[in-house]
Amino acid sequence: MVIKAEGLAKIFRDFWHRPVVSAVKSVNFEVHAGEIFGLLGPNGSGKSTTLRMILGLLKPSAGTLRVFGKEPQDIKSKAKIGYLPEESCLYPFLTAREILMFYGSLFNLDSSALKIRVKQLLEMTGLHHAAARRVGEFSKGMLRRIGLAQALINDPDLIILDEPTSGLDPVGCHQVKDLILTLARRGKTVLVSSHLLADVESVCQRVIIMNNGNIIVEGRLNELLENESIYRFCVPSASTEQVRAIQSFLRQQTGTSARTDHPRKTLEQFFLETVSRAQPGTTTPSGVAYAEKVAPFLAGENQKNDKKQCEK
Amino acid sequence: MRKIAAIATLTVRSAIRSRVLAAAAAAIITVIITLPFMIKGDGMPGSKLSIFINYSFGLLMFVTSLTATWCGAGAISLEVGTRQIQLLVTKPLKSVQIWAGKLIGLMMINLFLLVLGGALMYAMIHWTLGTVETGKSDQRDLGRDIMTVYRTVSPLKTPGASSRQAAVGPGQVYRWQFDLTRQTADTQFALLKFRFIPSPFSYQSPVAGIWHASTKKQTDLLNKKHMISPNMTVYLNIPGIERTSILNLEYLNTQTNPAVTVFLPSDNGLSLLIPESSFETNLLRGLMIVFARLVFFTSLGMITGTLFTFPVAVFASLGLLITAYSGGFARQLAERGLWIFVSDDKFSNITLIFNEIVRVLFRFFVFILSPLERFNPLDFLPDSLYIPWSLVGQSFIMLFCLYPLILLLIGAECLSRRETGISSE
Repeated sequence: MVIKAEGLAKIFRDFWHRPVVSAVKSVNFEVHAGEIFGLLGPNGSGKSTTLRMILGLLKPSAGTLRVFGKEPQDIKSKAKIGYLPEESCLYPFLTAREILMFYGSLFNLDSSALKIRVKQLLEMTGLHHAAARRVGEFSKGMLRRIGLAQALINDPDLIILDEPTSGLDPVGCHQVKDLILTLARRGKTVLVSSHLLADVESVCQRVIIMNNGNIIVEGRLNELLENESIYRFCVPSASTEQVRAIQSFLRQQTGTSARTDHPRKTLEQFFLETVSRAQPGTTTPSGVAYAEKVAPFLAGENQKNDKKQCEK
Repeated sequence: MRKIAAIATLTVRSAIRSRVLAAAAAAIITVIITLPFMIKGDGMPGSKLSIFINYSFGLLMFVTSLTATWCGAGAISLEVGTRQIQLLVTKPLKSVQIWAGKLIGLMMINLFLLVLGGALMYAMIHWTLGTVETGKSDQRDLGRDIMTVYRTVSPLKTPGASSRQAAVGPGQVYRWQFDLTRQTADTQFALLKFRFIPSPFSYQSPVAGIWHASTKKQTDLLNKKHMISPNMTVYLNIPGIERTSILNLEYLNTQTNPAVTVFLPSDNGLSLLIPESSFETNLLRGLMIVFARLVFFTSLGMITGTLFTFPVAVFASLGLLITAYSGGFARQLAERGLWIFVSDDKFSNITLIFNEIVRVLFRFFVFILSPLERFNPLDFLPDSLYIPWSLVGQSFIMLFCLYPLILLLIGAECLSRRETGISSE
């Protein structure tokens, strides 16, 4: 169990300690190791407050919250967490490389290992051309990328991503989703909070939906979204006559007429194919390169090989 | 330790790149370079230099204290305001490490500004000495006077006298003894510093008298008639003095027509100044005390920044800073409240309550700032008085170690209790 909340509640109070807002009302949930967990809900539903309590930024008003079996403020727990906040909280006067070096140094990483990780993360996020630029000059998309890179510098076991794809172009969104899936394959736990339901749907295994401080739905996405009474058959290739024959057969068997259509690509898929054909390996004017590879240290590849690559 | 160093480096980088350091350095450079051109004094080169040392060191202290307090107030509160602290506290850091890292970073900034100001001040003193329009020998004497610092030796208590105050009637003799057996520095002269008040007080003409100084082996170190104006600080040179003896000093009041009694007050009436050290090392000791004061101011600023938002923290810490530099005014407000402004005692109840609030507030301010009182280099440097190493050591123990450590623990505890995630929800 990575996160366990029991009767978790948060009440915001004013200067005179009078309750103003009950942001989270006695919620219970668990996040298991290795799963991609979605935290969904409309604005003001309490999901950001829940995230901040998990991170130790807010203290629960009631209930218990355990992260890796300990209090959220525990230093050892924090060493295993990577956090991407919704808004950029980075130091604008530091360059991208300095940002990663600074946050990396807070995890007592060996200097040479840290340099390798910084290089790999800059390449993965496509910011290696902008590594010497100050973060204050970055666009929103670039800020998300460097924010994501800092969240991963310690190769965390629990990655908390607040609106991870907000401000990113479709290529960036695709890379982030790929990254989340790669991390989950390595046994990492990912907690995603997002408004972009399509993004959550494509990566999350289990979700909770919050509204007005309460959990209104909890479960596996497949179970929640699947309509078990309806079946879909996909036929790779068939003539018009063959399709009619199949429809006729199905009508005889089920007593209802079956709907037939041609499968469509999603707009995202189409966009990605088009862009990758048009701009293989190019860099945008702002300095963002379209990188494809997940940082080797995040993919769990041999660190010695990485070091050799870096030296080359 | 590496985490603390990383945060300290970040703090220094922040000050450099946000141009706070450049602004403070520019203010110090401007003040110290332009000051010699603005000081007129009484036309004497010695007094001009003394005023320059007083003003430039005072301004250096104030500008660096202002920078230290401002940066201290912003170190935590600005990060909370911009939510940068949210990323910091989610990393495996103890709040003590965050606090200590910020404090060390700000100490580095203070040190840089002090070294810059001290070096510039020293260079300007030498430049001013070189531009004085006097003969070469006078210039050398002036250099010797300014670039030497003196230890004050008070007279031994006169047997039978209730206080060190001396009253010398016309034709009378008064005797003092100075213990020089503990003086170890090898110098050949001492300065007798005194100021007297005449009786009758209306008598303001020079008063005639004879000063005589001797030791067991040296009978006539000083034997001179003097006509000295009252209420002015006078320095008499006693040459060839032996430094491991008891110095006997006599004053014979020869002002009999008209008859004038000479009063030497106990606080600053008479003392012997023994050359002790060079100006350079004294300046260094002065700067070290200022550095310890800056660490204290930085810690105070950081505490306010941990408890309040940036505007409130700046307001509170600047209030403390102004109180520290207001001298006795704050103490008077703490003791008497608003009564020091008005003589009318027909105050309304509301005014009385307000008066009490002011008194309590200033008592609190004076209490917080009480560690600073004993450690003020301006009590020594402008008068070329020796700053003992023991005072530097005490200032470091109190202002550099003890109080910042207490404030560090309080600040770290406050930071760990503060909910840094309260913002947008």
